[in-house]
Amino acid sequence: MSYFFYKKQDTFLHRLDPRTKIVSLLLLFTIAAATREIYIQIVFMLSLIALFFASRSTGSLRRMGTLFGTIAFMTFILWLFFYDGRVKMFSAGPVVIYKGAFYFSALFALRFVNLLLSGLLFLSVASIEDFSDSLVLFGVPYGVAFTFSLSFRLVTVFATAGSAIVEAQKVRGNDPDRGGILSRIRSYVPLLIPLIINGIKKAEILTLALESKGFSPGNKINLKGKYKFTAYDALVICAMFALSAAAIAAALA
Amino acid sequence: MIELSALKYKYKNNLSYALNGVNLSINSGEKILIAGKNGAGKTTLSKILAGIIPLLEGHGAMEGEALYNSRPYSGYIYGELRGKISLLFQDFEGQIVSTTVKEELVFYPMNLGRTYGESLGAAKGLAADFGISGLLDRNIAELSGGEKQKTAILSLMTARPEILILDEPLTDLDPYSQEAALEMIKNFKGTLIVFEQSVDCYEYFDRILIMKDGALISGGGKETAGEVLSLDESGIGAPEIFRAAGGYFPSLKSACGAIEKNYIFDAEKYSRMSAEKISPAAIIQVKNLSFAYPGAPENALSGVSFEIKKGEFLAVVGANGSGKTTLMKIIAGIYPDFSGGEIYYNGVSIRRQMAPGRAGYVYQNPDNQIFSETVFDEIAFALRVKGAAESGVREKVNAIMKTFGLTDCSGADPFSLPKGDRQKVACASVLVTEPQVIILDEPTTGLDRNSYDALMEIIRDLNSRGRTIVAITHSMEAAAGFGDRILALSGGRVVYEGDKKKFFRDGALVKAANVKPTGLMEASMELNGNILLNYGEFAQCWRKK
Repeated sequence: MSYFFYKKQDTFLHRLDPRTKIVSLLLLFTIAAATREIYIQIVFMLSLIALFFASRSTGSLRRMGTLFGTIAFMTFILWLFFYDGRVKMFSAGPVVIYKGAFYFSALFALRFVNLLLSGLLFLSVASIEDFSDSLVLFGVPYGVAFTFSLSFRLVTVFATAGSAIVEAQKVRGNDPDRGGILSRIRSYVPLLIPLIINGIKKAEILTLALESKGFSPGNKINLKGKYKFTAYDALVICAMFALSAAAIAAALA
Repeated sequence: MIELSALKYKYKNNLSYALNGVNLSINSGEKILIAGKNGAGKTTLSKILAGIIPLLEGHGAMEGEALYNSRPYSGYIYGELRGKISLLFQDFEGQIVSTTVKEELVFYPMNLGRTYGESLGAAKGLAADFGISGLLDRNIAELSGGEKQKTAILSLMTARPEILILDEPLTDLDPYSQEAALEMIKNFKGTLIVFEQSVDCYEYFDRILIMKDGALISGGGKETAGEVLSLDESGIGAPEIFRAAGGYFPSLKSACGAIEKNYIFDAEKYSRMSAEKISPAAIIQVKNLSFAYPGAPENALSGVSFEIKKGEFLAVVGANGSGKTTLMKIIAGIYPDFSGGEIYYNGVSIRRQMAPGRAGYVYQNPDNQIFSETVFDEIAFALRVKGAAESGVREKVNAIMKTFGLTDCSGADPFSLPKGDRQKVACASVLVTEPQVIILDEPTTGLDRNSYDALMEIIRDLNSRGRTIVAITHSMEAAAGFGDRILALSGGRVVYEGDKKKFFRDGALVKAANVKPTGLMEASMELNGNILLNYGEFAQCWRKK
């Protein structure tokens, strides 16, 4: 199974030039960070969810839904108690909730989730190669761009080694997914040694593999013909800039 | 083109020589097969020929001379060899650097400065030749082992190197894919050097060299594959057809002629040997099983029904990606969430609750299983997890180490052992809990003839003592040697379950399962229509005149 969210699909978002994807991601982050109105954050979140449907990437949402929900809930609870207002609304011993805390907590929770959803949408429609290629197309040296993407590649290396080891140990009665928290922690200890050994071995092989396939940090690669910046890309970037500008203007006002 | 004279190499000064006086001259355009058993020095030699030693892994001590285009390898910088010499690592999965097949195939040529269009054109052409055009847009993490191996081979060929070196390129390929890979590399325009543990694919090469203890001890043309005694001495073993015919023959027909001339068929023995055995009761029944990997568009298994009989030795065969490993992992309880169907263990449904210990699963790669500091602790792990008393643990571990011949390395670091012994440790560490059913995933992959024979003897012994054995294999020679029954899968469905001889005799069935009979099977059919599965059966039924 794949450890990435990206799945090759023939959708409008998938077909965008990788430069458009990366610029749009930055602008989506800007909109999420700048917006101070809850209702706009809600509209923004619904729009992002609609884009997940449009890009047939709801599988990513399903994979991360519980985690994002938990993060939103925890953010809301934490800000509820840590929001430092002027007028007390409720107090019980050391616990004080100020007026405006609910609004502020909900805004932060939504903002955080929208940032995460924007990132997830990007990861669902852009491959690792899209990411490193877009950096190259923006003029970042190939060696630097490739090094960025290498960290994602190593995720697969470790995740593959990890799942193989978990499987192999399950057969021998060490199931890390069973029992309480302490017993799970204990079960994970024997996984660490082979995971580290395998990970180091595979990372070492990966370095050799890259060299053996012609990679050198000083290489220049020719992406001519791989991507096409179309009118749609220009339109998407203009729309994203307009929305970001509006969000910033609203925030400043 | 390449000249090696009295070449010696050791990884550390306190270690013995990995290469011990290699003399080799390779001319441009040659197709060479270098065969040797585990530890013969093949991987070290492949790395030296590719320039990885001494240019990238230059920590060892090299003596003698190694020249590429009349210039010492040590005089190059590795960048000068890029695109000229390409090496497929034995660990081909570790050599894959991209996320999709298409990106992997264009990676090398693009890093040599070729345009995307040119690189993609080469990738598409080669993928079509190899029959993997349908994989181009697939995510590599979702491919089977064989599909990954094909991708790894092609990812080097797209760079069109002058010299292509492949270190055991066929290990994970099914028979048809092996043939396709060999046909493709045969048509490779440059110099080809392939390292293997056997000479089974001799017909695709101009020159065959035999390696033993770090040196090239003999060699010649295709006839080298028929030098049975010499190959046995080198721990490689000759193809069974040549063993039966008594030497090299260029065609099946001529080998059959030699057999007919020198041997006589004992029909009585054959009918006794081929008599159907009474089938025991089933220990595991699989009914209408379906399974899909999370997020996968199609089922990996659909409507699979079959039985594993108590105490039998069942071989599971099928093409790469046919669902063999998935099916057996479900039975072993590793993938518990199957979407449809039932599995019964001794008549009781075990859906989502196959307890460890009932079915032991031995992985293809022992390194994914090993983690303890000593061989003893590794084997004792499963017993200790179960909470067994230490005295009982010691007793059981010592007994199984004796069975596997591991007593002398009880205190050794398992990772320091040769691959054959690591495979034995992995096997022993599963079998120590005495599971009723033992599932072995490609137990013969990466093992030379001696290690293979030693492991199989132990497994057959366990089978004779009542253990049920299931062996997944893409080696038809191994399938022929395992037990009486066969389970053949294709596209996630069962195409045959039953007697092995009936299966291999039926050409349509064999084709449906995407497997191929061995040369010896074909020869025995050609001789008198009575199929013989392996050399053991041949020796019983054909007596010397």
